[in-house]
Amino acid sequence: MEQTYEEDRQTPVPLRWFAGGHIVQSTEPGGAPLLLFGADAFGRDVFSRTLYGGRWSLDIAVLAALGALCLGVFVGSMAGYRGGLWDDVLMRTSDMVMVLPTMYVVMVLRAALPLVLSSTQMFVLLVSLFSVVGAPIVARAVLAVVRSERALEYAAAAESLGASPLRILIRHLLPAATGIVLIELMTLLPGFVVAEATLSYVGFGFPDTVPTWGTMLHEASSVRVLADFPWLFAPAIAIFLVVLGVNASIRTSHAGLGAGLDAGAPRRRGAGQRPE
Amino acid sequence: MRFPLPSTRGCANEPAPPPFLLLFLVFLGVAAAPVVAPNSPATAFNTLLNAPPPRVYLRDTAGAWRAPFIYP
Repeated sequence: MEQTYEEDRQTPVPLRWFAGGHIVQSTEPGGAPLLLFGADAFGRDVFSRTLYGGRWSLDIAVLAALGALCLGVFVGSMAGYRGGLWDDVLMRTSDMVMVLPTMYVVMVLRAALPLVLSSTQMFVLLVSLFSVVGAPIVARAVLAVVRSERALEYAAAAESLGASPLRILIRHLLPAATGIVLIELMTLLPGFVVAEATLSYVGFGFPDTVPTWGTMLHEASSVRVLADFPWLFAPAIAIFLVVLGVNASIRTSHAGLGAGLDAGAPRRRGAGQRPE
Repeated sequence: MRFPLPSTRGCANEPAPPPFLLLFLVFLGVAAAPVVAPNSPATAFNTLLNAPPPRVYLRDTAGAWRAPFIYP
């Protein structure tokens, strides 16, 4: 059944600013609502759901990226510092995760678990899955930096002065990987936003009752929607803006971080300073 | 002889580039959703299924300027 809407030009509804705890509203609750991006098939406000949905989607992406960062830095630094068997076991395991098609791995892992999970369980699950899948990318970058920095004189000097391996890693080697780790973090972030949307779109993510960008796009998954109700694609535009913003920021950060690292390199490597 | 000005990239006074601004606005809007969003995400308006976005007007049918308003 299709409804048509026409404006009632006889009754203008003034917008109320900073009332009822909101920046803008139209009328009192129960009156004509302000649906800035229109309404979905259940009559729910798409604008509000896009904002609230972003909380789930971005929280997952940020936490998963931080999780992948911690795990990747740990694995990469241990493999790079210890070398030998540690390097072989940790990095071959990472390689095994990396060579598998990420999205299918996540989908298989998700499918192996109960289909109906609570929102919190799903949140923790997705953050964990994305962290594990993203960690090898960070680990590989950290490994390369730690391995090359460890071969330099300042690391050997710190070691000969009795600094513990943990101190050498944290105070001397890992700071050299700051730039590349930040770039990896910003690379993972949009990937996880899209991954959450993809999983929810195919039905392996959050249930439809939870507003995330993925579940909202799942509701808009028909050609008819594209033609008749294009405002339901507001979450897709939000995803586009986030991915575009992060990717453009990476380009800006590359130059800034590169310049910063170049400027900091002589000091970091202990030129003119006594190693601790 | 003219020399090129030194780059200001990375200086504290350099304005934030547009990508960061865009990201900041998106994250700010999402973080402040309870205040920015005019309705609850779960509230269903049963008479407005698949309703299109309303147009916000500044002039009424008589052509007079008014504060922003919509027609229901």
